[in-house]
Amino acid sequence: MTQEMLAERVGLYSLLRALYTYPLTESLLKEVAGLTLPPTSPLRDDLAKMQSSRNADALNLEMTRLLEGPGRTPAPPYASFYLHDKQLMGPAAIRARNTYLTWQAWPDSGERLPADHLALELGFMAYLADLAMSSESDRPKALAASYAFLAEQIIPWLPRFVQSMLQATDVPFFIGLAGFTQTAVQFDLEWLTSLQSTHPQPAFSAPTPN
Amino acid sequence: MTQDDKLLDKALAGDDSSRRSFLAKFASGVFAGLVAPALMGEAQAVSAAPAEQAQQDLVPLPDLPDAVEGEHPVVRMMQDLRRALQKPMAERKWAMVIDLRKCTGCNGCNIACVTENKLPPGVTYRPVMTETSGTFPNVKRRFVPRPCLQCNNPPCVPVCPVHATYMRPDGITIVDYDRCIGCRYCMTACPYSARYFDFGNFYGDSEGGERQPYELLPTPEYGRDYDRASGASPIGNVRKCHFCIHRIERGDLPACVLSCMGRATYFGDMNDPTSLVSELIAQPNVMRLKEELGTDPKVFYLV
Amino acid sequence: MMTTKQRENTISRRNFLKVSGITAGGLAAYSALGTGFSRISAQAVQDRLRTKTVYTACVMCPAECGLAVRVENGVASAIYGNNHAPLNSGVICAKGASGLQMAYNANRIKYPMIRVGERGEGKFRRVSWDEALDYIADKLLQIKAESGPEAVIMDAGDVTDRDPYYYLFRAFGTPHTVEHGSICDTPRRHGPKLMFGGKRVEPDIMRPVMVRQPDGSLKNDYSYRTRLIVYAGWNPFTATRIVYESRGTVEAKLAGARIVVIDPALSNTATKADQWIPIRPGTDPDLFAAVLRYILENHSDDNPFRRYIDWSFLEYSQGWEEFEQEFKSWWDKTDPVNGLNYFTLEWAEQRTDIKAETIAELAHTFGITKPAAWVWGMNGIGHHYNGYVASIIGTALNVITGNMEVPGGAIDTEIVKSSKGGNASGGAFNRREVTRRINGRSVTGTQEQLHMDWYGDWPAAWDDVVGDYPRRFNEGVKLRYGPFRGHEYPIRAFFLRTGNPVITGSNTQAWVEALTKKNGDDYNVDLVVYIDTPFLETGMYADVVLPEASYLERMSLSDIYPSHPLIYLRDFVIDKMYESKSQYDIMMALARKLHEKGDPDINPADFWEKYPTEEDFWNEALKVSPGRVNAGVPLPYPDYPVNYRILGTPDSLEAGRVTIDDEKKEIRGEPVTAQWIRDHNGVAVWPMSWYRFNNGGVLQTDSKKVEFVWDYEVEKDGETQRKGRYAKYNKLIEEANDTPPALRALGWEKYPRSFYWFETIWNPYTNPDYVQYKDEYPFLVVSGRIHHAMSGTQMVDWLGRIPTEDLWMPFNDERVVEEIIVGADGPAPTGRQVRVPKGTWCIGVIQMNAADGARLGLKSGDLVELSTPLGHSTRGKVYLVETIMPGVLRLPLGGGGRFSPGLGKTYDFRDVSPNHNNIVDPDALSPIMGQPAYCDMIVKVTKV
Repeated sequence: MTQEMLAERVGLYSLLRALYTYPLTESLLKEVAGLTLPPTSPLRDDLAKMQSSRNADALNLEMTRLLEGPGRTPAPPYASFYLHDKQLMGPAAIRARNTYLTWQAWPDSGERLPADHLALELGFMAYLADLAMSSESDRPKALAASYAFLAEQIIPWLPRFVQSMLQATDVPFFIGLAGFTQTAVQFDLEWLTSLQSTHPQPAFSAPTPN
Repeated sequence: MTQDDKLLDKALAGDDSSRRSFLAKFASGVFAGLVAPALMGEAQAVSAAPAEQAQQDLVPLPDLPDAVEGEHPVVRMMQDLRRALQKPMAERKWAMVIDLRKCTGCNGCNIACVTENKLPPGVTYRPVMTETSGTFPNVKRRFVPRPCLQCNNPPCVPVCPVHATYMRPDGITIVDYDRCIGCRYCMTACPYSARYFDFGNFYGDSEGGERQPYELLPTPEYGRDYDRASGASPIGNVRKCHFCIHRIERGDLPACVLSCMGRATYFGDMNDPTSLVSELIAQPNVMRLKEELGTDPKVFYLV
Repeated sequence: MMTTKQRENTISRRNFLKVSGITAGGLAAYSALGTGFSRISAQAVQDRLRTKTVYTACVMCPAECGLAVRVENGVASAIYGNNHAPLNSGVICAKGASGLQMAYNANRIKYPMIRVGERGEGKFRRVSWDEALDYIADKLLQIKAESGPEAVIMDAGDVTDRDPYYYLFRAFGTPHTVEHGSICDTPRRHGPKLMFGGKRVEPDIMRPVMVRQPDGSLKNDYSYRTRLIVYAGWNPFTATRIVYESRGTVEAKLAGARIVVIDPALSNTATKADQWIPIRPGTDPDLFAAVLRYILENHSDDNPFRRYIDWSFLEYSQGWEEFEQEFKSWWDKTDPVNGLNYFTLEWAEQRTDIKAETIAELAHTFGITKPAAWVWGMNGIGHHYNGYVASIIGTALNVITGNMEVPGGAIDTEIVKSSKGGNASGGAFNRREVTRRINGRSVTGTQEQLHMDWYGDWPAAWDDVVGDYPRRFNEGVKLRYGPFRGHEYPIRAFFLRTGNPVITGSNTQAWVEALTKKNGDDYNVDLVVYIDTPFLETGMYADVVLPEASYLERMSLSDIYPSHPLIYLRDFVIDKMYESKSQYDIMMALARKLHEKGDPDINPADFWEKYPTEEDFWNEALKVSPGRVNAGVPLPYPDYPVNYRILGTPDSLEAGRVTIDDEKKEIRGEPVTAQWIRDHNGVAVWPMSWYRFNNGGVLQTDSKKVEFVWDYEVEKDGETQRKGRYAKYNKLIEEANDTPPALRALGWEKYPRSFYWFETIWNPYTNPDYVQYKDEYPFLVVSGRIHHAMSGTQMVDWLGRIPTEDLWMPFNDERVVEEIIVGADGPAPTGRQVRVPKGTWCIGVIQMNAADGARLGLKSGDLVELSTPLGHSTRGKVYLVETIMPGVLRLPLGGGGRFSPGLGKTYDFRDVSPNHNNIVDPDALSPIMGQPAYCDMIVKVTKV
């Protein structure tokens, strides 16, 4: 059962990664359309908005405007933009890259996308989730790392990014995507937090002993 | 405790270590707990610092003895830089001062720039121009290094049809390689010929046909690792000096400034009245190139 | 899967999935979308993570600056200066920054090769290291058996990490371990050598310097105190890189110093001078002598505006009166060329083409401006037949005006820098006793006494010098002096490691003839081995070519030209490329080979057993560092006794972790090691002080004073002892009753006691023997050194694009060339054609005054031939400019006519660029030490 839970997380982050990877494809939208949630799920409304369109061309047009550019976009999907005074490839990107390498994880896109692109950061969460699921020996570290990466790398800027999205678009799909991302990631963070706090041990921000 | 809980506890504790040791060992430093899995071994020390300690991401200052009578210009400029980096971007204005009385014409800056930015044949962000005049024995020769002058009114910017080149809030005019279509209008517009087109040449092309290892490394400009060797940007783009943004934002000096053999090149925030460049710009013997064009350059020459 | 429990707005601490309401299988399926990440190998991680900076030392030129090299993914990607190295203090020149294109050059020697064609054809085949070393070892042992080990010369070139080669070849049994200094600037160094035991006088403008403060702390001093620098024939900006002289000169000038540059051409250094004084080549001694005479004649102790001489120099010198008397003895003599009295202003004007008033003003300014430094250089003085004279007068000028060792004055860098080498240089092997049979009797002496120069024609050829090649290759050696007087031996093996004498060691044709001369079917010099990273002309004549690791791939030390003791570590930056080996590797591999083949002189206990790792070897070399005495003001170590030799790391000395040996007068801290330097930003720095001549201090003369007399007697313990730098040689001469031929040519019997004077050669303005050539050969030719485009680095593309000083200009025509690259079997066509557009590649040109060119009907770019009275000639394009005096041509040294295909585009334009050494007089060896007189020649110009 836990195994399945862990698998769900892999799926969640893989989906999110795909949704922030340009361009959106018809098949991805079809898969999104197939997802169902119980009426009480807090994610339900946002999912419904995401399911309102399956026109990839139209959505890609908006995605270009919102996220991709060229030019200054309303909601740049880069951590550095929010954390380092609107500059790109700031220290956050370098940290992300180093973290990926620490886990012997390397983006399939190579160096083409800055390492702090949201799709990469979410993809890395999927990578860690996959590790937690598939390797019992790596699980504790992978989960601890998932918590840390989420808490320290994604959460510090995600809400501001989501806010930018919400302010900049009136396309239901992206309004839904923004909300869905925010809520789902928040849930995961709280779940991961609960794992950590089960154990009355040093906070995760303790300094490195070396 | 449910079965799930037990499993998760087990997961967190690991198979071979107590819960306490797990947390003590892994709940630490790098991303506050994000650590290398065992398969990586201990060797992979990662230098990333917590986000709130951004200063730690800056390159360290040289470890020099204290100064008596004067100071090391590199240390002074790096300290100026640190102060500037703590301000919001729009409140700093990067400027360069080149003391022509001290330029020895060595071209160290030129080559340091070429290597730093991995420039291909035909692209030099900072050539050193030589001007000789007079008749023997009343002859003089002058060296004028010519980076991008980082105009406050850059003639190159408005002509770009795709808005690929623009001035950042800190005054540096950059080229967005992802948007640049290589039309080269901006090259025509620049009165200083400070822009270059990347034709996709490599040094190895004329030396055995194999690219040399340093040519295969990504280009670090703008903090991105542009994989030029794969044929991608900045090939087909217009390129120019950008004051080594990727260096200054980690607290380091532009390649030319660090290398300058006559210590003739200075760099810093001209919005900061205490910076070295502000002091120098206030000198009476300051000039700028083609002042009459109204481009308002941020590269100053001391003569 | 658990059932869904609905708990609005409250979240179970454990059940995220439940709360989020996602149902079984709903999300897990999306795993198929992929994470976008893949697992990579640990090595791939290393490669991507490893952007590191390695502190090391440059060898693109022998200034050997401290470097900070950035390595990305195992590839050196950018070279910066090391801010912690006071010599360059973080700066770097174009050449240093270009090191990547040296290390990664397509034309590197990649594998060991053995010659298959004739020497000079450049045909080789790739062999294994084992085969190459077998070949070398067999030949060496054969030569040793037949002719003795002294038939072997090891020339270890122009970088300071030569110790492994010295160590090996001295152990093998030859005293002929040579450095590039033998063909560089020995006349220039002669004055400081005689008078201080030093070599190079430089201005005190290395900043920062670390100085002991009154409170006991050490601080970096950035102040410039110099008021005047005279650079005579010295061009630090372009020609040679005593790197601090670039920033130091311009900084000192801004701080108020006056800069005077004396040079036939407007050098880049002259562009920053307050005054450029063009001078006729070869007449620097004349100018110097006129300045000294003016100072002696016009000095007044009473008139502050004429108080040129600072008599305090008498406290730390001896013999001035005799020197002065000898100097003055020329004053009444009449010059046969111009009919004027020697050393007068008018006499000097006739010779130097500098107005008498200008000379007087220069002398006066130098006399009254203090602190000042009178500095003379390489081509201007070092490359003339009589450069010794200028060097001696220049040294005297600095001493008598009180400028030596004062803050802001002049410093002899040789005697204040850190020591290194020690046992690792193998000096002990040279002191071994050896026996030879001479004329039927058995004679014993030291290995060193077999030296072909010191005990042959050039007894004063100090500093590991072999002055007299290639002549000795042709004629063999017959010793004149010492126990082995009469001993004859041939030169049968020539090892060259970094260096290119075929282009830069006197006349090119003479070298080619010597290396290709045959006795029957065999070459006269049996074995020529070329060890280097680039493939230069001399390599074309080698039997075996060995790939030496570039300076980014090897370890060693650097200590050169500073104002106080420093030492840098040259460290491993990148992995060794291809099959190259470091000097240590090559030393050990060849030593093992010789040992295996039964060489009794190679003892494992001296080699691999003693120094199992490269670092062990260099740690040995560091044991003698810094090795200078605790002297001067402020005293470097006030708690330790004065004039005791200092050894050990700066921190151990600082912390008092020392033993003080009163017997040996040594203060020994913890030994400096490579690891210590590595841990301290790549450099060890000991404190600066001034007034280091007082009470002996750093002086290396017999009397521990500045010596104006070089062969004198002292009474000690009732015995009369001969002292002074020349005494040793004169004793040999007297014992053998045999005058060295070069001295005989000057009309001398032995080396003079004090001041001497003789004229240079091939100069119709000063030497009566050459007046006859004045009209037919109207141009004096000098070489200019374009540092970034010298002999060994012309394949570096970045540097080929930087025009410099009207000597190295983009004058190439458009060509489509068949590409040749140094491959596994030597230079070979790649089958590709490469187009070189017009005006894109710098080549050496002939710098000529525009008015001269107009008179000859020439325009810039015209191809001309220069020919000498001796029948030598070279061709190149003229560049007509205002930056050189009329009647003088300047050619780049090693800048043209380059016929090694390993030089890329420079090779492609060899037919239109001049080789200065084609026109050098092969027999013109300057008479004291045998250095070629590169810059003494006259030519006529013909349009081709």
